[in-house]
Amino acid sequence: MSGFFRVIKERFKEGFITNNPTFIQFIGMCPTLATTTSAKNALGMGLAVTAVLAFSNTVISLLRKIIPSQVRIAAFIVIISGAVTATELLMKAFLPALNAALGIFIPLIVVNCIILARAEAFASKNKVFPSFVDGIAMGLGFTGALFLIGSVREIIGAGTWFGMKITPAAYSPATIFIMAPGAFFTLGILVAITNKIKYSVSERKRKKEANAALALGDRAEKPTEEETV
Amino acid sequence: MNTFKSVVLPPLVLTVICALIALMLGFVHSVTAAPIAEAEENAKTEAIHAIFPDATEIKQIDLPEQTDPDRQINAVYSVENAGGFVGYAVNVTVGSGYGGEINMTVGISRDNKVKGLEIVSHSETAGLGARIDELSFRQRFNGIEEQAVIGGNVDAISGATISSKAVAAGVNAALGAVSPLFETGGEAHIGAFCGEVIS
Amino acid sequence: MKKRELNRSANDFDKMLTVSPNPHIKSSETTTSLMLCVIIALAPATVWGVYQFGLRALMIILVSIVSCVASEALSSLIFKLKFSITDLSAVVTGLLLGLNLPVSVPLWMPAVGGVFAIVIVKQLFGGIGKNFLNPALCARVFLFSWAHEMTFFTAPKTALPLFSSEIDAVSTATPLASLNEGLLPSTPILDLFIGKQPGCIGEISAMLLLAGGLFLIIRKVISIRIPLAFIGTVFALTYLFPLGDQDVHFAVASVFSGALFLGAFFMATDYTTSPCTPIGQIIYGVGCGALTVLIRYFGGYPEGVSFAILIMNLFVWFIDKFTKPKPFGFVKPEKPKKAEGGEAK
Repeated sequence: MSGFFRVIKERFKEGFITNNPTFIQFIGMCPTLATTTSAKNALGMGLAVTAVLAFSNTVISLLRKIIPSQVRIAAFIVIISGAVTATELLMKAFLPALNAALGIFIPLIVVNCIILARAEAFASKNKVFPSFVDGIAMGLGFTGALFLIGSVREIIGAGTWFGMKITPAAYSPATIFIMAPGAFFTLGILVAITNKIKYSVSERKRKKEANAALALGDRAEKPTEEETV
Repeated sequence: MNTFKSVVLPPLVLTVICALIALMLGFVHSVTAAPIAEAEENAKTEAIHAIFPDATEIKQIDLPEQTDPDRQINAVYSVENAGGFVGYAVNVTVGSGYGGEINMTVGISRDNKVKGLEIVSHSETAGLGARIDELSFRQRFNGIEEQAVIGGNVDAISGATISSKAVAAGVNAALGAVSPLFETGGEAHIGAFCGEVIS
Repeated sequence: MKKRELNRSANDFDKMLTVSPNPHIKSSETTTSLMLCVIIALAPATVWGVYQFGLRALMIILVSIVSCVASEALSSLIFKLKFSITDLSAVVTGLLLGLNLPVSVPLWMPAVGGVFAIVIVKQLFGGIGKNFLNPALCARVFLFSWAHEMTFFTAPKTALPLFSSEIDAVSTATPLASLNEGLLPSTPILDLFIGKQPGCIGEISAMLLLAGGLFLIIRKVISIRIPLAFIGTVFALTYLFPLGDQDVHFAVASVFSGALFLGAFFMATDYTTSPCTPIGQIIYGVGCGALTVLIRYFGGYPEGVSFAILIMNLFVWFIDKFTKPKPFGFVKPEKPKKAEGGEAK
């Protein structure tokens, strides 16, 4: 049982922090910029992607030993588009308002890099349970990023959050933030912040390791080259 | 064996996968078909319900050609509530918006006055022309009888004269479309036209 | 060299040849002195703007300048860039931003605009000389998020509160509103030239802006190419294709209305964001002019100067690359001969 928890912990750490699809991998940028005009839309989009990811990762992992490698991309796409079409039908039926708000970006989930990337990089090479958890973790990591961006844009650009007015009446919302340029501003600034955090964390880790090596009396480690992102 | 693996197996596997996915989709479709149809019907009449909150029956009716020379009217509905006929709802598209077409639904009450106005879709500039969607602007048309005149009986949105004029044009088109129906006695005409019962 | 000098001995050579590191030619120009010239050139138009619109105009300009200078100082500290507020470029950006705003905007707008112009458009890209878009114009376009405030113009000589955002005045149409409908503006053309029409604080007086521009040209701070090409193109296009069956008066009115003189002399000529080569500058000016007319005629906002200059800023790299002058004596290298029977290109 502890193996299960270890897998879950590992996958979630990857999906949220070390390999976050939006802030670290920089994939799936198009829906990130387009659907984060409000917190609710961002959440809806993120959860739709999570559902598709979980389904496609699971099925692809189940069939990974059966699908011949020549047709694997074609097979992945069939499975993914099936999942997306099913999601679209379900949203049209039971969540028509969200479907209208997200519009064409729901069918576009098929070409969202995240899903194909996880299928190719993880699900086709790992067992079913880890793949399923990876799908959920990456999807939720993506949802978290989208939700953050959507909230910032909605609060600054419309003065509301989930439709509720939370800014004082004197605040005149900067509508540019719910339009396209605002998406780029918000994403750029958030990525700068996460990069700074990433850099200072890795700097601190490197200094700690160097000090530890010195303390042991060994020859000091040569400082490793830092990756500049 | 090699030929089987490299030539026959791949398309075979792909076909099976496609068949299975198609099966899954067929199942999802059967579950969702009815709710989707219902949601689409509701979307059509959502604007009408916003204008006539207690509407119980909404029937689409035909219009004589002469009342719509610019082909702006998409549909006219007669609206009834528990007490009978309450008015007409007209869905109009005007092309004279600043950013393109504006689609709106105009509600006209039994005494041939504007009851309410809902903007269905537009491509106006955010912060300027897009303010035609604000309730404070739309309410300026309530009670208008013959013609809406920007600068006359209706104030424009400051800085968005063209968008305001486009909405006024739509309202006037709607008023023009239903006025012959009132002249000949509105209620009597519902039976004379054939139309679909929508809700 | 005289024949006598040729006979000198070798160890006298070091007296003849002075070797020292560069610079070998010095002028008294520094960034600070250039910026001072620009400020002096803008002074008449600024004073006129304050005279026409009241002390609130001065408040807006001051808030803008303070915001720019403070942003530059703070961001230099935080991003560890060269501390550069003494070169007065932030002051110029603040002044230009303030002059590009209507007098009735709330005072937080020039403050926010100043932060945006300096921190995001200039500092984040590397500081002075490294930005690729004009900071003051970018900030003005950013402030269009509050479209209502940015397009609300009051008539000159209207009494306005100094600090409060509660403006109790009626909005008036600027000359551009009439021009865009194909009519001549209600203000006579001479008054348009002097600057008696409503508009942004610094854009109204073509006469004083022209004086400032000529001052800069005489002092060799800017060259006449960009303003001439810019204004000339706008005049030519509005003369050849006037809206509404108008004649030359339409073209003259178009040239004196809106932010054309302010943009052509002071914003399009910014060193960092305009081309270096002479032909490039002419192309840039013509492009700005053409885009201005296009946006005024067909675009969503009444004034096209800001957007035109920003769009042309994006092309400056290409313009510089393709108008690079040939080095003296340069011969184009021969293309390597295609192999026999090789594929066609």
